[in-house]
Amino acid sequence: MKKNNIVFAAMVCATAAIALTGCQPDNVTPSLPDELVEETYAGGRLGTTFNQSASAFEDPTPAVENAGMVNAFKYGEFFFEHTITQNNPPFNGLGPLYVRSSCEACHPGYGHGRRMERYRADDWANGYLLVVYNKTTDAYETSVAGMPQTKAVPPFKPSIDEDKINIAWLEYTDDWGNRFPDGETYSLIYPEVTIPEDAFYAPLSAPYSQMAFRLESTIGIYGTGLLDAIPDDSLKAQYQKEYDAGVDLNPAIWAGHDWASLYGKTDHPKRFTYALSRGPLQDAAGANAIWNIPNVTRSDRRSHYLSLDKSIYATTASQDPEVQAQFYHYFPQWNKTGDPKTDIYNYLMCDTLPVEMSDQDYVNFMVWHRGLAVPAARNLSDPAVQRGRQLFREMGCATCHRPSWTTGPDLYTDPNGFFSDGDARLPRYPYQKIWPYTDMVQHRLHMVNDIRTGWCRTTPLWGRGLSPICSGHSDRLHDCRARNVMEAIMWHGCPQSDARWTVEKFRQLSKEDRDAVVKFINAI
Amino acid sequence: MKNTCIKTLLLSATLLASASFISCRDENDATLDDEKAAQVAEQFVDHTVAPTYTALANKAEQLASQLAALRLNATDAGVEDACQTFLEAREQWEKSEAFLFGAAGDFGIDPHIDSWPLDEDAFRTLMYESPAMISALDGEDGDVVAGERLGNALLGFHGLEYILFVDGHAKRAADITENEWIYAAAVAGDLRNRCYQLEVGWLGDKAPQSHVDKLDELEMAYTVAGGNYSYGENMKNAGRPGSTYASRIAALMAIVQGCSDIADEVGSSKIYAAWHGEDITYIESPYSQKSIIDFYNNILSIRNTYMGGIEGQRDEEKSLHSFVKSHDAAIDGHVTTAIETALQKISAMPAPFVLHYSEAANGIAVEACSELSDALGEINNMLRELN
Repeated sequence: MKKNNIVFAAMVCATAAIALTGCQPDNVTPSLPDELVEETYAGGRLGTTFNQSASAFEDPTPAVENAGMVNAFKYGEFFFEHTITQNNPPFNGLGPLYVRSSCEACHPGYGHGRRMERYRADDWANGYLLVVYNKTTDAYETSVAGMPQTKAVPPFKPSIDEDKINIAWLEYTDDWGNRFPDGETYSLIYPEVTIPEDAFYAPLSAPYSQMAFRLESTIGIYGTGLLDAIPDDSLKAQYQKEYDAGVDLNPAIWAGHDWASLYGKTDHPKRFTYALSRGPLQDAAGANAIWNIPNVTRSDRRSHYLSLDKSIYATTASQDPEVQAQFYHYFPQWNKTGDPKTDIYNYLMCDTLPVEMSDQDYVNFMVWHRGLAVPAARNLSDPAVQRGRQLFREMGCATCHRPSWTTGPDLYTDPNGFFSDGDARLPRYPYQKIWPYTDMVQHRLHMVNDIRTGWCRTTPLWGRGLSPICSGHSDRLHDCRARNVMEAIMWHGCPQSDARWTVEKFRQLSKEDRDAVVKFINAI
Repeated sequence: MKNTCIKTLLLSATLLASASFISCRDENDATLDDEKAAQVAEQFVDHTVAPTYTALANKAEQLASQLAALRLNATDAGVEDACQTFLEAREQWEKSEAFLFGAAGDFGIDPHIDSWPLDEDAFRTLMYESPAMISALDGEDGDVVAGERLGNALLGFHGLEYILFVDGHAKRAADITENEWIYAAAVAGDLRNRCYQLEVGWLGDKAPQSHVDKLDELEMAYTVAGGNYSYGENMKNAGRPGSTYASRIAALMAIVQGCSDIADEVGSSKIYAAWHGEDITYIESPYSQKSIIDFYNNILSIRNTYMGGIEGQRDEEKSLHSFVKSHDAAIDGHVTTAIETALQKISAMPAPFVLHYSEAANGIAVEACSELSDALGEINNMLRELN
């Protein structure tokens, strides 16, 4: 993480200075039309960094600096960047099962995971989470976790033996033979994941033949605090607008004129993760991940993340003679009855475990999480970028990749109850115009080997053009099947895709215009 | 720690002072800036990055050889020699931390070779409960097994430091077990491979062929995004098709940001976390007790980057120092003074840090690093206007 420069002041000063000298170079932001100057601040005045280098996804927002939270931010950052150990403080608590031992290993440069040829938890930049589900019902398999673990601390054994997981990348030819009308070609590949039955530690809850396997990659973390600040009623209005326009919407989320479901027991809509499984940020992916990815307990989560039906893993492990033989050696404090089977089961099922992450460390982590700035849009004065911006809107891309939102008072909430509404311990982003390029709604691309259920929330595009610099790759889409922007666009063009009509227009553009669209997407 | 208002005022004054030049630059000025930026980037790649990573790769290679030999015949003198090589390799690594962007970041080499703390429970399990893994580490490809199977919390400098040092001194050979030698030899081999990756990543075909061959044999990536450019070529070709840098000035901004980032990290994380939090667990390099040397070398990496090369290869005419000075002598003065002040204040920290972490001198060093980071930030504000 690195310091955010006081860019707003810099821009004001630069504007003033240029006005004084009476000449305006065409390559500085103040010479842009007001609309584009505004869009340069992708995260609004309180949420944008002008860092364009390798650490561009790592800066604190001006809101963090204004609130005097920089040191808390940096303490929180420690927990994201460092490898979690079993018992070495302050980064302790790893296991008994874990998905990864480090957050950054999945979010390289704080960004999107990289396309991988194999599934190894310890491979750098492997942001993949395995998705194991029943292909008949689309329901997650209950004998493993929603994010299945392939790592364990002794004497425990992982839910899936990762050495047996295979990822094959297969060629795909689209309706147009992977060719534009002017002859330019592109290639498309997609992953086929296989996991043999004997790779599973616990017995499956349904016949193996019903199992399906997918990959879902991490996305960037920056700007999530700003997305959390979008008012609930603005989200609702977006759904209503799309419904009224005849857009197909996920019936599990939207019921015509009102929400079909809300987040948990709250009155807040779902807004985070591809599957829209999470609502307010304070109980969303990051707040969850710092607990369940390394399995580090904290005061409000004093249990371990195991199989969805927790008793399945606990029963299997408690009956495993090898685990029984070693349990008291590694966990002597859990010798409560002298019967390892009973003690293993009780340990794994316990929901009053000792706290491993302090409340203060968790607060710092959430300052960091809510405090990550969005990189400013770049090169908006470039005529090709401006052409791409115009085409992006004209073709209909902006229908789902909605350019901007305005945040509300940001009296954020925490369904978990750890933070009070608008708690002063975390940064806030009231009344900011932001440019995430997402409608926060799920749509379907109907790709081969598509995401579980087929519904996927429109991923924000902001900052993604910096991925090659910040994360070392250009991979896109939920399983990183697109290796660049062009491939990502063309994956939107499958026959049944909600975006097919837009891609048909894109195909008719000249090469110069197609490149302009790509350039624009990389600029925001 | 940082006063935003003061910083804003300084920035405003700087921009107002320089804006007339910046905003009225004609094309000739822009071309000159571009050419000078290309020279600075080339000097940075060839005379700061390249010699640093070459020295690091060579020292890591030497360390791996020494530990492989010690694994067969351990002596006190041999351990002391290995400790010396370890410190020399570590010196080069710390002197590279101003350019953690590029290969170090993209390939995850920084966390792979420099994670801390060591997971002591996992280490004990490995030593006493994992005969199959020990056997694998003892095999011909033990370096590969280590790199792929141990995980970052058991790899890299701090794992080796734990084996070789105790309380700031070299261990006696008799205090290092057979399994620990097997582990150390394998981890040092992995460290060597990763240092090759840094070296080849930046130098490309200018790196020793044997190092390239080793990476090819291990199927380890070393080019930018799997393409044809090395990281050095990528920077030298800034502004041209195929480079990730949109312009030559953008390449300079990346260099400056790297310097700013490590100045900030030394002050506000490496020193501040232990000093302010009075928490010893935040201290890196506790076994060799060389934390302060690490901090000092980190600032030297900034000096080498800013002044146009490592000692002996420096050319200030092709340096950031010269480039910045030609545009704004005040900013350059601020930076050069801040570098020397940070070095002085870190030198004044009482050693070892792990025993003196709460003393006031550490807070003064934190302030000096913050000042340096802020000064470097001024450069990027200036470069942004040139870009």
